[in-house]
Amino acid sequence: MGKWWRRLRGRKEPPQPQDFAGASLSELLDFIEAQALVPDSRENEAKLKQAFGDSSDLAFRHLVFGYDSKVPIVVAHLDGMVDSATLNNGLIRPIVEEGLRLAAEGLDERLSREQVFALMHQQILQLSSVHEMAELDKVIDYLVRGNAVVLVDGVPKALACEVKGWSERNVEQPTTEVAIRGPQHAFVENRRINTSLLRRIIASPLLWFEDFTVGAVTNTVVTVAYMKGIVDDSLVEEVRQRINSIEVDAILESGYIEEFIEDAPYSPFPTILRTERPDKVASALLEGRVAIITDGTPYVLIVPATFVAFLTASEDYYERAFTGSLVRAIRALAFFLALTLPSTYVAITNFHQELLPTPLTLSIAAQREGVPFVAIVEALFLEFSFELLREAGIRLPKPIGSAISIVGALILGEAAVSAGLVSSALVIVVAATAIASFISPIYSMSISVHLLRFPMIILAGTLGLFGVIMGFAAILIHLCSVRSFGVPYLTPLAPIMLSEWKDTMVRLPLWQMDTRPEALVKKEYIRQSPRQRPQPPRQEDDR
Amino acid sequence: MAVLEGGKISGKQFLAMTVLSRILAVLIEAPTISGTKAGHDVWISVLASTFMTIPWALMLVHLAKMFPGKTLIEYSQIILGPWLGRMVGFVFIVFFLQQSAHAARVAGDAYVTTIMPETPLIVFIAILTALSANCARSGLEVLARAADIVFLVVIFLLVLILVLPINNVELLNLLPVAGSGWRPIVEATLSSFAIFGELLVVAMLFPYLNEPKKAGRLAVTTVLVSGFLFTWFSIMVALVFGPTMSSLVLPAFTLSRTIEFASILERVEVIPLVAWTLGAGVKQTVFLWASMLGIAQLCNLRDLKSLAYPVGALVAGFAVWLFSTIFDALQFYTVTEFGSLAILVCYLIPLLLYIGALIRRAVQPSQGKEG
Repeated sequence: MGKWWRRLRGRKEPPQPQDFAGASLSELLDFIEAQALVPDSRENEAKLKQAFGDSSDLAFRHLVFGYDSKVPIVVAHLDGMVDSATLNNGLIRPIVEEGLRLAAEGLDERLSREQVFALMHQQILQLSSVHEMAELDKVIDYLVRGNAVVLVDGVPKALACEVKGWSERNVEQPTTEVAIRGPQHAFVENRRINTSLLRRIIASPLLWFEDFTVGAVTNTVVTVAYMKGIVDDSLVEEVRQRINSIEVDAILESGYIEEFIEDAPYSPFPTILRTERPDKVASALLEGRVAIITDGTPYVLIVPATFVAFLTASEDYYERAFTGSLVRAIRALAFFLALTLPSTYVAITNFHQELLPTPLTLSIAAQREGVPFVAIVEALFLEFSFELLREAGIRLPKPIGSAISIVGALILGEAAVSAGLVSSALVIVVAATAIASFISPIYSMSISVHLLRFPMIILAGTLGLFGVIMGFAAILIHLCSVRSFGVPYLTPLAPIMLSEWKDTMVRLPLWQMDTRPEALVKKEYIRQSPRQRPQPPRQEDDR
Repeated sequence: MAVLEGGKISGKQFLAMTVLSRILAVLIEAPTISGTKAGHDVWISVLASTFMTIPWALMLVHLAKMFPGKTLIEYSQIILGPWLGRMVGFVFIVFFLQQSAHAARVAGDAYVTTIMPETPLIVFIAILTALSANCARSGLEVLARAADIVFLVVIFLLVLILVLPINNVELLNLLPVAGSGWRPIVEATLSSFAIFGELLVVAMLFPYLNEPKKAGRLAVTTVLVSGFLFTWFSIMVALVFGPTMSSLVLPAFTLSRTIEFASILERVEVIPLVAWTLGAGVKQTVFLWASMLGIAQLCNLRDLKSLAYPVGALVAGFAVWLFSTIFDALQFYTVTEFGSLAILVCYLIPLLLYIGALIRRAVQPSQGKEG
């Protein structure tokens, strides 16, 4: 793989090995890449030490294979990245014991060093995963991923043995996507545990995983998961291309991947769904979507993501159809309210008092009598303080959090009204909006709504209802123009696909959802046999 | 050669766009057909004109089928030759521009007269046009998807306006049928027929249908659906207002003011306003897109997107200067003003084109199909 920084700095060839002193990051990486292992194991050890700068966690164990022939062997690992029991029992003990046994039988002297190496690879090491390699950068790559490396003196090769074992968070309940009914586990930071969670839900060989390494410095492994045979192959190819074209130094979270591969980078709306629920990913895979699992984060990306997917929770499918449909409809309504309620309030109180029933107009006017500001200032002030409260609530340490909510409720709710800064009607509106805006199961969509409320309020304060309608139309046109990995964002609302409405604002019973989403799937369209409505047997008239 | 417009639209989207383009006329005109004295008998004229329009729509479809993949502007150049064809194309483009401008103007005027009397008209027109140009710039597919959603909203709102006043209905208001003779009804029929001419824009949309075979059925459906809404609305206004209806300026608003429903829906003037704005927006955008495409094809341009804002500015200018007052803009649809223009541009010229195409096919049977 050609390193992209050479292209950026206009270099064609990797530089000749030179001294480490004064070199830059990319020069050092190039330098390490250009190195190969040599027969002398001491020299290899020195090279490793040089590359790691003699870091304190790099540990070496010097062994001798056999008794007389004395084949020196060096075992290197990174302390804390390996499981020492496995290292001792599966690697060090077999080498020592086997060496002594062969020596006792007098066989060790007949073996050449290459044979020792081959024997080690094939028989002695009692570990499930042992790889052979000859390049220094590969050795380092395995080391930093928790492997132990065995260097046999006289052989310019190394064996990387998987003995990884570091402390890991356990699989726990989801924190951002809580469900009352449904599986209660969430993804964790470890990519391998995450793939296993998926494999446990979909026990099929056709669940395929593809690994990519992204980030020149962090070397983060990104796994692309899809159901072969359901997914559209061109979609997988598109995902591959977009991930391969990422040229950065570091991937610290799946958000980094998201920003580099999304379709509409300037859109306020997310076009990639992120979730921490394995069941949600599994259901997306079975619909023909592709999941992108990033090592080091519990958030998995799902593409393509449509607008409706952000208003969908996996629980909608676990409760009965009526419950699911009701919740869906409420979410759609809440999205609409969160976007338009404060701006409509501002427009009506500022410009169109005549649109309200007279008693309500009078009551609002009476409340606003002592308020010194126009409605738009009032609304922006209150919305802004709500945003402050929300952000402070997330960041604060838990013991102080409750204090903030009390202070916020008192100051914003009660004191601001009695001080005559805001009218109580607006407090109700802002509170209702705040609740409505968090009803989206995906937090990133809530944030989009928060973001868009401010321009909507400003439009309403300047142009009245016309501004609100125009703002809404502008958002609509924008949503219509966005695509996510080739799928129009508003599918199936626009373009209208009536057959897909079974799973949009309502959720039909599962036995009626016979097909996969039309916009995604080209091949395996039918997902279950039709006409499975449960019909209890008729009561026989046997009295 | 680069493709000017790569988008394809489905039948449903075609319907949404064309029916929405008619909503404006329905809301403004249907009940009264300004300038005629048909009064409460207008619905007869509307119904009659709906059926009169069907042959014309089928003619447009047949014309399009003779030149597959070509728009109105393109095949007029083939039929009439480059020079005469371009002149005719120019006339069509001016017509589209004027329709677009009229939509913007009427929407802006609706706000000025109803809920925001102190804001200058130009503000509304500028914002509407900016949005519409932005949408047209994104291409036909985006426009079609937006129309898809807007269609649902507008139809819902329309049904609301058309059903909720039911408790104010006075069935006797429809009588006497043709009380003042048939002459006003015939006049109104012609007027209504002329207004149907704005459906000429379908000739620009046909080449972009993803199932061109359905063009005929779609065109007829468009005429019937919009004619049906048109008729329903006229009947409703007649039932509620009776003989006074001819003097109403914005019947849709007056009608919605009569709505009282469970004392929560008392002030629903805003409903027709929203429907009106959305309908006008789609109409303005569809015609803006059509004129952009026409200009690009007339001048052999390679890029459609860069036309959006200049042509949009032209539309905004037209919208401000073509009409002096709201009455001017509303009266625009009368037989003497728009009617004569529409009969010429939408009916006579396409008819001549059709005859020309038939003759051309008869004379050169092989080349006619290649077009």
